[in-house]
Amino acid sequence: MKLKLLLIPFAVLMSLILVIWYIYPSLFGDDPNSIKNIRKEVSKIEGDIANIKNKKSNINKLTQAIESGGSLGDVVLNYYSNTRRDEDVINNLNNIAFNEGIYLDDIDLKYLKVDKSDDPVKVMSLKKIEALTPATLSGGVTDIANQSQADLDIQTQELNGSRINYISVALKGSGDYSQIRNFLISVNKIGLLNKVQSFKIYKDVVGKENESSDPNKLKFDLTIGFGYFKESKEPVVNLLNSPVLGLNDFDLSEIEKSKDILTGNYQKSEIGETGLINPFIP
Amino acid sequence: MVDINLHQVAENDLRISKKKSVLKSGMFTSILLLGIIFSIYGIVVIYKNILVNKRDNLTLIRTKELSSFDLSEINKIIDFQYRIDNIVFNIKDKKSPAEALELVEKFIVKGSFLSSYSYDAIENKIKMKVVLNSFRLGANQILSLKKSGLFEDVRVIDSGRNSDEQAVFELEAYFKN
Repeated sequence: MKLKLLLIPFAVLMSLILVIWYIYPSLFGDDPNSIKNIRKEVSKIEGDIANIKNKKSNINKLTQAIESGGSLGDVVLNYYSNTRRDEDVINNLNNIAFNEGIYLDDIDLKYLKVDKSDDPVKVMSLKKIEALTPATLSGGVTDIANQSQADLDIQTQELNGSRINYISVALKGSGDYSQIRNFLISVNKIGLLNKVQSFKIYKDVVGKENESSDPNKLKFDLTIGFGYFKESKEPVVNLLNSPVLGLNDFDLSEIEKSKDILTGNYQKSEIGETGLINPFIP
Repeated sequence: MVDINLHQVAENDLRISKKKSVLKSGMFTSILLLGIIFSIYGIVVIYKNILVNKRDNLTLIRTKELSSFDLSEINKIIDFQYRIDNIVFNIKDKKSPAEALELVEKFIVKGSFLSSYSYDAIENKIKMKVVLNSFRLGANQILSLKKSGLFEDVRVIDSGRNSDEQAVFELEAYFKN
């Protein structure tokens, strides 16, 4: 009888202990292993997997778009190259100079990078490469890792310094004003990503002209940069947050509009004939 | 005749039987309560295990999916988009040399000529050495550049006369941003 009497408080106590100690925390607690949080995590991972599958499908479509991009795709690949093309730069500058009646005295090439302190917009009219915010896998692929803006700025500077390269060409030449004018305009549309960084047009003898020399003859110095970039080699967690992978296709409408400027007067370099018995005699 | 209070005896019996039924129903409720709570406990344990297994499996699937990405392909795509963005930006941002020449053709004053003219895209400025018939024309030239509305600052770097007694001005003008 006494045992029977004790059973009621025992049952109540036992129930309370189980509810407070295990059932409630397991169902609704803040612990990462609570059912509430595991369910959240499961739905996040399911979202991640769907997201990854969606991105994979986009990647296939975008890869196909590059491979079957046709003439516009080729224009993009040719205009802003990921390789240094000194031969094309020299060949095309020489062709333009010849066509415009310019005599080139000197061509000096330097291989430069956009320095950490340089602004790529000023130097080469190129956008800054923004560091991609890496995704965190523990919380979910689409989450953005907790990185400070200062860290991202440093990464951006380093990326720009390591990836944006250009050939700086210093040219010296001569011609009359209209020839130099046309040369500068044509060089700007050379069909390779470029920026005329500076030019100077001047009279050979300032003030007093030499009677025998042509008074219309001018000299010029030109500095022009030809851009090329180093391919990105980002880890997958960084790439997944790239907005490009959310696209089905590339938007080439702006490229289409500027096609004439982009193809311009570009001529691909060819090797020509090679081989001499005595390389020291032409 | 002896009086027996039958009513009292019946009340006691009733009380005892009530106590017994309370005890019985209390015991039943206790067992029921314990049964329900232990059932819930069991369900929670089993459900939690199912969820943990599901989470682990999904994590594994996600890791597999991630590792099956072709990194070079993604980098190629990102680079292609980078090219498109920058080609468009480059064409729109850079100033054509024609613009720099047109402005000097337009704003140079009559009665003068240039002995040198330079354009610096990085510092966004022009520099000109102009030979004029008089200093007054030099002042006109400065005003012409200032009134063009293209520059935020026009400066005289040097001024004087050359051996032909012509006025020579070296001017520098910074484009508005």
